Amino acid sequence: MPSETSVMHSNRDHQNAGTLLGLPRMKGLLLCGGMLGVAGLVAWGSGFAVLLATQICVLWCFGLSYQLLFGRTGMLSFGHAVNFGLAAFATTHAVRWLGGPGGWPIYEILPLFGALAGMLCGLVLGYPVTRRSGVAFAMVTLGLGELVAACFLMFPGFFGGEAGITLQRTTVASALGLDYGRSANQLVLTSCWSLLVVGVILWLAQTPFGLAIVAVRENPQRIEYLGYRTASVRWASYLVASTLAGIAGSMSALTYEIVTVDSVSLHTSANVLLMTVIGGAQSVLGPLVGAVFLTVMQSVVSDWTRAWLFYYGFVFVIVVLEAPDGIMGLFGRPRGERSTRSSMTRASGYGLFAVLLVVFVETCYQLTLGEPTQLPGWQDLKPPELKAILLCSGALVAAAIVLWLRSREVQQ
Amino acid sequence: MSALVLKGVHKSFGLTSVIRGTDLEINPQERVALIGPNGAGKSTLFALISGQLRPDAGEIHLNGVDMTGKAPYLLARAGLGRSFQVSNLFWSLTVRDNLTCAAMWCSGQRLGMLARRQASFALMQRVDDLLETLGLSERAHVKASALSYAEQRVLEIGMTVASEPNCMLLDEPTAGMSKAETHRVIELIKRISTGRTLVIIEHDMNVVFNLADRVAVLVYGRVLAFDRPAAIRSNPEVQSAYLGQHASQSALPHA
Repeated sequence: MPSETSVMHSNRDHQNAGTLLGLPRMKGLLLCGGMLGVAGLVAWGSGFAVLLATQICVLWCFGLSYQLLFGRTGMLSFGHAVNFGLAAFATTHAVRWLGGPGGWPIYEILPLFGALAGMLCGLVLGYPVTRRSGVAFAMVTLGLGELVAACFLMFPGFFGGEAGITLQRTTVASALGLDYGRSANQLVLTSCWSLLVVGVILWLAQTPFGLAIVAVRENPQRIEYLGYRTASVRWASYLVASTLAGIAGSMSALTYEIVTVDSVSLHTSANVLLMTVIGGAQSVLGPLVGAVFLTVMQSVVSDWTRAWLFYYGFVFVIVVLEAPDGIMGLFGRPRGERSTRSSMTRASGYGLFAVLLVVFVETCYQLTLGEPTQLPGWQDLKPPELKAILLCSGALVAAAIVLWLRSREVQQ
Repeated sequence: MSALVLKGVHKSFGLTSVIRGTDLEINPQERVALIGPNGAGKSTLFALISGQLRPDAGEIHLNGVDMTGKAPYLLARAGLGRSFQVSNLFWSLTVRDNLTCAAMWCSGQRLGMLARRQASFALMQRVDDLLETLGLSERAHVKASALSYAEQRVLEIGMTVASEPNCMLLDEPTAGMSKAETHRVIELIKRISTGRTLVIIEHDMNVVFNLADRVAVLVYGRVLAFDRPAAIRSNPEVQSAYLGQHASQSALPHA
């Protein structure tokens, strides 16, 4: 029988665990909002919006798996896409084998194949890479990623060579009798799996495993003297992360109906890292914010400007320098710190700088590429005017950077 | 069977020989104080016993099992606990989480993923009891980094005992503490070390002679004497080698 005090403690602990993971009330509100949004999209959304929402769900899952590895265990991996991509290929082959008339109606649980493939990756590839931590781990994962990507051209039978490999998701029958040719149904399925992954992440945070991985991040030396072998804890974390990444990879394959070399590439590994850091590596909502940001940049802003990657990189640099806990970390700061005048001034300073930078970059693009940019009124400007604007905004940007560097030196 | 045995342990760093044939045999549930002048190799000896360093030669037995050169986690699982001279905590975790981490492996929770930590009654009970013993119940939800220095030292000891070791190594647990704090910590160490073997590095001679069943004097990597406090006090060799540095008689309280 638990004594009264211990029950009290565990209750308090529970509340504490709730606040640790971010802001419970806000999280609930956002979750409800997200579900309403999904429902709205399913009912009335355009195909494009539904596809974007599906992509966000997939990236959220992928980001959550990376967060477990990077945010919680402190393992900076440059090859997390390996698990994602290999699981995507495994799912594709599973669909090819299982699909067709007379196959089992198992469409809804296809991500389990991805999870299994991810787990196998974690077992086989995870063991050697988790023997080391820190910089060595980062290097080894980078090499592993390149190694797996190199296999694409060596085993075209499995990976489909440079063209990749396609599938048709409607060939596998649905257990619920839904038509997954409709992208709205695919969105519902993907968001359900995403919620499951979120649930797993939240659950794990409260288990002994969840505390052990944080302890390994905090002080790997001390935890060794408490009976834990850090390499094993890292392996366990890698295993769980790769399993969850497998689910994400599988959903990505089913959503796009094609898997190419890009899904295991360094590019995808870098994206998941950038996304998680921009959103916040500590809160479960961080990867969601990052996923929304990445998707909007990739699919919406990229239509608007060719310089979207530049802006994406710029935001990453600013987040790393000014908000190391990501966008969600800003919300977690104490109220007083958030609303002080200096931080308001700083925020408006960044806003102003961003506007200047956009003007500079867009003008530069219009001048060098000869294509009019989407800035209102810019299409009618003549080259001499453009050059003047370029010089002015360039000078201002340079001056702002110098001022900013000065102010940082003063702070230190 | 002895709790801890060191046989001819050697350790050198480059050309500097730090531990030069140390022999020590500690009985179960004995409290041993390890004293010696600065640079005698006390902390190095702890690092060797706890697996942080590997001895160049010699053997280390824990509860009759040869554990020479074994990794720290294996030693910890075999029942060895150690504290650090400079507090070595999980700084961003709360006091409660620090102790939970320390107690998790031995309470059988290990890397469990299927149940919440709070679901293990044995683990929660252990942590609650420890918080009570350490006098940190009120501070359970404070981050380790926000504790006062003395509280951090107490938590450091608590982390060592949380894993239920049968042999504890405490490296200067009272370093930098006021007289009142030192007194409280020594009372705490007495309480938590009952039923365990204790080896403690300590500079305060009052503490040493008050706490220890036997005192080992380490000078230049060798055990010069290992005997009851009274015998150590009157040992002329010890007085000249170590205690002679300070005005020998005044440093030794005649209880």
